[in-house]
Amino acid sequence: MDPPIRQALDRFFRESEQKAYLMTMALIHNRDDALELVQDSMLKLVQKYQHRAADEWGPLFYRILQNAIRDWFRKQKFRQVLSGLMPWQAVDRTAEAFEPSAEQQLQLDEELARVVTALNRLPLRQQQTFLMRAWQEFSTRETAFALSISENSVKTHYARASRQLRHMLRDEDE
Amino acid sequence: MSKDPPFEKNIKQTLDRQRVDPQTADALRKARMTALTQEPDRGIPRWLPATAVTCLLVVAVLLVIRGNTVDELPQMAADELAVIASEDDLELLEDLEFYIWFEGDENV
Repeated sequence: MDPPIRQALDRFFRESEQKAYLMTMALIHNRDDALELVQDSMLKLVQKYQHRAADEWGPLFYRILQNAIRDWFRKQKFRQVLSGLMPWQAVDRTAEAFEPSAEQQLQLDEELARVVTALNRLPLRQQQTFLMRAWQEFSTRETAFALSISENSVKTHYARASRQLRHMLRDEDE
Repeated sequence: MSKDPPFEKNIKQTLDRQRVDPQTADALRKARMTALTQEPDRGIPRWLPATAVTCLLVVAVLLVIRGNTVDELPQMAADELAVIASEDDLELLEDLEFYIWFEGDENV
């Protein structure tokens, strides 16, 4: 790899990796799988898109990651169906997947916990859209590219997510 | 008069307070270092090697089948040619009915 590209990619990953991981964790609630998905996305970005302009890496990286997250959910769904068909093979990963560790719990202050809990109540697409737009600060266009949906869909999901979050967090305040 | 920051901005600030634990940060650092050692794809699709191996196997199987067929055909042709080439045998074949009758008659 050319040294300037390597340096630029290193900088890009340093700036993105923790947020990408936390965003993935917010969606799938499984530390090991979240790490694996982020690592795979890094590898793919380097292998396929390292020669693209640096300002394209963000949307490309999140597109790869979101596709990986979508595949992860498909596999989970398949496992659920499989465990329904063959209950003796069912692996209960619920506790592992949804219970934050004590260490994680300590790191989540109360307000953050409220926001994350409210986010988790949203449908997956709304969560993804909200996290991309509000947290990652992607434009509507970038979000549409990263999630492989239309810009109109982004606007709709984002508006619905914001409205529901307001509703949930305001209700808790009252 | 101060205006409250927008709702989304508040949530962003809240989410930004998350920090990964040192173990996870280390795992991410290792993932980054691994990724940065990767060479770019040279445009060879990942399915190509598997397809090439499959094609080679198919060709090999076809060659074996065809080889067996080719071995058998000359063998049959050689037998037939030997029969055809021998005038005596040809006469024998022509008179086969006679010999069968003759054998039967002799047994009687």
